[in-house]
Amino acid sequence: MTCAETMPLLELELDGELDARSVLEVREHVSRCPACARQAGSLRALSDAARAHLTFYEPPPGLERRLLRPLRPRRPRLAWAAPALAATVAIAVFAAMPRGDGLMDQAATAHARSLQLDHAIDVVSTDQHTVKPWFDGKVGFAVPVRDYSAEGFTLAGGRLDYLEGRPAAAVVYRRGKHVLNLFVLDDGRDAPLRRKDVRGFSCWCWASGGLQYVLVGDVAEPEMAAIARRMAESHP
Amino acid sequence: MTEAAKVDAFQRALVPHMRAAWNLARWLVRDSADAEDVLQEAYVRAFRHFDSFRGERARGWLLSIVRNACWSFLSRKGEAPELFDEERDTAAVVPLQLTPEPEAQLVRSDQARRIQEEVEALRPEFRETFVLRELEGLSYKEIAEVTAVPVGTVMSRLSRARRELQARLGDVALKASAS
Repeated sequence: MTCAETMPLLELELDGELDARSVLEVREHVSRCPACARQAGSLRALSDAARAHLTFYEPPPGLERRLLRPLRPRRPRLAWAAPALAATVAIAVFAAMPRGDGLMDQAATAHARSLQLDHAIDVVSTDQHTVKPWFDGKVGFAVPVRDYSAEGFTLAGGRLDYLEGRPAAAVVYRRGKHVLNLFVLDDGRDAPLRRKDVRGFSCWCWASGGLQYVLVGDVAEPEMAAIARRMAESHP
Repeated sequence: MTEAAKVDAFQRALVPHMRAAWNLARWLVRDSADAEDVLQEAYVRAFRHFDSFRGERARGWLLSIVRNACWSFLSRKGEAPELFDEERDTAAVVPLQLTPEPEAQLVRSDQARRIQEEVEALRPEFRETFVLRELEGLSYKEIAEVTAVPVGTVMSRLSRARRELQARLGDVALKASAS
């Protein structure tokens, strides 16, 4: 590959938009061309600096209520009727869904809630040896906690959550400004990795070693798929 | 579906993406009060078209509506040029806007503040593309869908945004702030 061929591909490589073969060719050229290496390094530094330092603006308090208010019908309604009906519908839908689907839906909701309430983390630590013992006695099983900073997903901490009415360990990771939740529950049968899109969140579910895992996040799909596979492999 | 049930379904589908919608609107209009007005307009519009929404890709669907509302707002304010003017747009040097610093910003490094300011100073279409890529982590295809342009345009806008930022920030500032 020449410099003229490589330069336009540097950004595609950075953004994960390049096929595997071209990635190898670009890297091979960069390894022996100082000019392209310099541009690649500069692009990487810009991207890293942007992700590290640009403000991710958080919604002001009460925004959701204010946004939805004009949409609500003005007629008063019985406050208890709607939640009761919603609960009935939820149970009916839940019973009809294949195993794992309901869990992924619940996990996506728990994930969204953790983002909104600014309550993503009960124990803040990037050290797996701090996060893992924190779960002892809170859930009825040993929670495997691993760090994936080599893959760009840093451990941020842990949180106690509830899914399907049972305590679940939520291991929290960060990728730039994005938060990912890995939910871990006690469950029997092994199940292979599968994916479901729930309201725009990418949910990945698998079970092994007597534990059920659900990973939820909204980073770009190729990165999401790669880290889900990596996690499924490393949690035997 | 009753009207109340429609609001509940709407809320379930879109509220998880309110954070992304707010961040995009805030970056595009650069003011909290304006961002809230724009988001309100976008939510009303989204609700009106909610019947045609099929439940797939809720985030992209909402972001494209929010983004359109932002652009309407910017063009009402005269901040969204209709046509790209090569001479004006390549010659223009956008001055840094030095605003009073809230306490949180004081502890951030100078480099961190500079990249924030330089991204804020990018033209709206470059700023939008850069923010969707680096802060929201969208793929080229997803950005193309949200901003209603071909993938090739996304690539050239992103490239152009990066070249401008590289030129203004310089490698030294970038390397220092990334470390």
